[in-house]
Amino acid sequence: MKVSSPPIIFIKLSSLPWTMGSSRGGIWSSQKEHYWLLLIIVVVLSLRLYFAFTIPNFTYESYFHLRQVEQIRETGLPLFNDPLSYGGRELRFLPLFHYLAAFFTLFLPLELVGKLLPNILFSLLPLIVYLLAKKIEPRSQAGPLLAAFISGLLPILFQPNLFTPVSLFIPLLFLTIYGFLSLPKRLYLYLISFFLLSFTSSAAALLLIGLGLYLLLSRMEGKAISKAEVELILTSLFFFLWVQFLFFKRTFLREGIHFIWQNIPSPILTNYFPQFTIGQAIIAVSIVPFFAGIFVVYRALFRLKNQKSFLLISFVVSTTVVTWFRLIQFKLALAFFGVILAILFASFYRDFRFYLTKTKLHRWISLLSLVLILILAATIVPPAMASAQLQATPSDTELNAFRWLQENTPTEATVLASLEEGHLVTWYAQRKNLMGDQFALIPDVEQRFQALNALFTSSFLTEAIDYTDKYKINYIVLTPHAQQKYQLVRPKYYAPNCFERVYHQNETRIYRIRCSLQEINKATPPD
Amino acid sequence: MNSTTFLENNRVLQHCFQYQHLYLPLLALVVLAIPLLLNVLQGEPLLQGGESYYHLSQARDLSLPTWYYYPLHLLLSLKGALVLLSLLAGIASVWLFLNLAKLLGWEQRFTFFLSLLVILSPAFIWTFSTLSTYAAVLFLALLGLLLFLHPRQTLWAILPWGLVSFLEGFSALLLILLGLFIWNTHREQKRAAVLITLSALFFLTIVLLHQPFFLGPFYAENHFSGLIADFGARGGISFFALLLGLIGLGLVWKENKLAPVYAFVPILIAGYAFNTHTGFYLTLLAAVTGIFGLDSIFNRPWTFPTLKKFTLFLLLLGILFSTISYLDRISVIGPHTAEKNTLLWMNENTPKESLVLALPEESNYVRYFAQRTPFCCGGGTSGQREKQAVRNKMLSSVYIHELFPLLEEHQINLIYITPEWRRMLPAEQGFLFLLKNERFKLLYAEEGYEVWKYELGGGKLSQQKP
Repeated sequence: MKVSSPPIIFIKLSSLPWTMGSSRGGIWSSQKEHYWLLLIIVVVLSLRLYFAFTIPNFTYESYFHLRQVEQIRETGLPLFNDPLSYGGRELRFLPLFHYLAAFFTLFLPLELVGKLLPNILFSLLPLIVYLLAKKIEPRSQAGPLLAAFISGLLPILFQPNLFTPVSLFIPLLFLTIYGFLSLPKRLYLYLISFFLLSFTSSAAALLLIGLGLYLLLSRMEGKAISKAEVELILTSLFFFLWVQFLFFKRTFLREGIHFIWQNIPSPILTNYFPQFTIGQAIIAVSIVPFFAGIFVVYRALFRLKNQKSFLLISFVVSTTVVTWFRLIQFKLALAFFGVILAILFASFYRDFRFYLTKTKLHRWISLLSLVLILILAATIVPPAMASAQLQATPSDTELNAFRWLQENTPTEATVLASLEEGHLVTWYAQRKNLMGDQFALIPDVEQRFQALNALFTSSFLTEAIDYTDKYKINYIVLTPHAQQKYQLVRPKYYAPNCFERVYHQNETRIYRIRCSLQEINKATPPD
Repeated sequence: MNSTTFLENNRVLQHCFQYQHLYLPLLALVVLAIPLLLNVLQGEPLLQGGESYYHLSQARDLSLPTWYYYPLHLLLSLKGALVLLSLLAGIASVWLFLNLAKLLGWEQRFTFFLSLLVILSPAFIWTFSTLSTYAAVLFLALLGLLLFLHPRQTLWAILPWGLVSFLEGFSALLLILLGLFIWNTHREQKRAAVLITLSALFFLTIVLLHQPFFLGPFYAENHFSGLIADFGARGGISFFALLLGLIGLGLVWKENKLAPVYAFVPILIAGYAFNTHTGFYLTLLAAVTGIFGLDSIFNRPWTFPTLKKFTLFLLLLGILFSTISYLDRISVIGPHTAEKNTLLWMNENTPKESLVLALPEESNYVRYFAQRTPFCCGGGTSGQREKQAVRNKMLSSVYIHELFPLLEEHQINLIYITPEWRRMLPAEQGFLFLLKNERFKLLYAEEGYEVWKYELGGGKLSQQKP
């Protein structure tokens, strides 16, 4: 019958991955699948490295981690007692990522490691996502590949100049999930990756919360729970807690339950736990995987009995709840959410093709699949590129100002810079800063933040000098970034006799403070 | 607990189970002696915590309603060595509990692990290394329980249990509830008589004599952190033990094992919500459910036996970690030597009728060392919550026209400032900044502990402007 013969486009497209919803011993071999996967990884890595090297510097927060890596390389230990940050402070963090980077700095320059390592780690994510998608859709070929593609170019994670433990945490987290899904065969993979994860980021709690919810939902749904899974969850829970207590004992004691919010000053807490609009959130995790994910979650929760997708859905639900209660940094939650949705897209893609086969459109199945993929690419690639281009990094001219500080100021000087530039003061200038974005264990963080804002926005000279006296600030750096942030060209309280401009290049200024307040009469409190 | 494979092959543990009557009191002695030794080595007062000094003050200023402080009144000359009373009460309580477990026929390993979890809990360490109501209550409750269960000594139980009703109403209520449970399963006339007498005493002390239903709190309350030692609680329980307790509750909640415990859960939670000092009972509850958690988790074959050992090791490590961290910081709770000196100075150099504004825990130090009346709080007397609200209002004052009328109204003429105040309050504004006013005068200062005088009735506010 003529009707049953496939349209010509199907024949031409049949050699491409999206034409195969599932392997039925057809023309597609697993080797070809692996080539496609390799291609995705290479493309993702190339794109990441392209941006990493064309944009000259790192994102602001990266400099804190670069400094820690350098410290480990030199002394073998992280800088838990930092003499420069906040004018000298105690700091605790999980150091695995820094040790890993420090190891590579034995062979390569630090800046090169800073550019290569996070991007290589992130480029491994498509491989892990592919394996996970293959776990939930073992017969599908295109679905897992598409999941890998989405995860590689997820806009929220596409920040090639970011040098933070997140680049190790996200791949490790999903490797751990893969190990869990492959139990008991991959017991050691799970144990090793969870061990490493516990020393990488406290956000590993997300995994445990998800696993806990998985147990709860499975019990409620009457699904059988493997004994091995329960045992592993218990072991992981106690191990994770033990590691956290080992590193953050003092933080817990000093901050109590507030350790969750990392002592972030209340005015900027909203930046860490922002009220994203639905639109922004959808773009960050990409439109197609978002809606596909919702569809799969709905089906799995109410209709399916697939235990593996059930686990992933538990992660979606737990992440949503945890984010809703503002217990985790929104950006991290969104990244985790985005990758889970990418994995679930594999299920959606199989269901989509299966559904089409039951309709009159079955003859156009390949074409429609192609359309879906084009929509997917159109909604993922441009936001990812935009995300890379819009990374917040300091310019070279700004960095020159901090280098100048290192060469031309006394070593004990304290420098005021904007909150984001706090780590540039300690890394490039190697001077004390008023504050940076690592807030934990700082007793007067609110007051410092108030002082920082006042020093950039106040109109009153006495107020400014009062603060510079209190925190022994000797220099103020005013970069274009700070000027834009605080909407000023120079401080409103600027007085030439009190502030000597010692550096001025390309809109970046450095002032030396020459005045101080002296108490000549006892202050009288307000009536 | 069923005897299965739970560590029964371990020879060391078997030995410990068998000789627990020796080892557990010995462990209690070691654990309770460490804070005392640390205080001795650091030259700090032996007795720590506001509650200790609350009881010492009560014993010193003995009156008819507080007649039960008479034994302590007789021993007041022992001063710091009084802490040995608590230590002995702790060891005796462990011994009584072991005897009780034997009488009830509990399995040795159950008793052993439950005792271990309780002895290593910061709540136990804090309670029995200070002069604490709950140290006395637990000792008396266990003694009473042994007598109550004894076929020929039942009526004697009324003596220790009756004394509890004078110490704290809430504890007496829990004892009545516990007695009712026992009576429900083994109905005897003597037991009914004990319970009726106890109920009558409870009514008498609370309703007629107006004895405190809740004693304390003797520190600033924090409902979440107040329960978990790792988050800075004064006593509390290890986070690991609490987690184990929650797991235990989750795993065996359907079984009858914990049925009697359930009745106590809402009462203890309600008590804790009202007064965090009662968190001591919640820690005991968590320890009991924790043992069921331990039993449910480890008293079954695991798919991965090595993981089982590793998890148990982690759990013990976590509990020990909490205990050691707690022992490390218990000696810095206070009062410190400089604080004691400052308060003794206050005693010798300020008018006896002075009313002192101080933080809750320090109120009892003021009462004992300085022998001055604190404005509030830190006991079980009525009206404390209102006074607490006034104190908070004073501390949050920004202007003198807010603060002065409150000080005048309540006739507060001394202010006792500690480093804790300076940590809590901003220096540039609010209460501490207002101290710069000429009506305040710094009388004494030592290592951050300061005595300030407020000049009562120092003229109209308008006259104070420069």
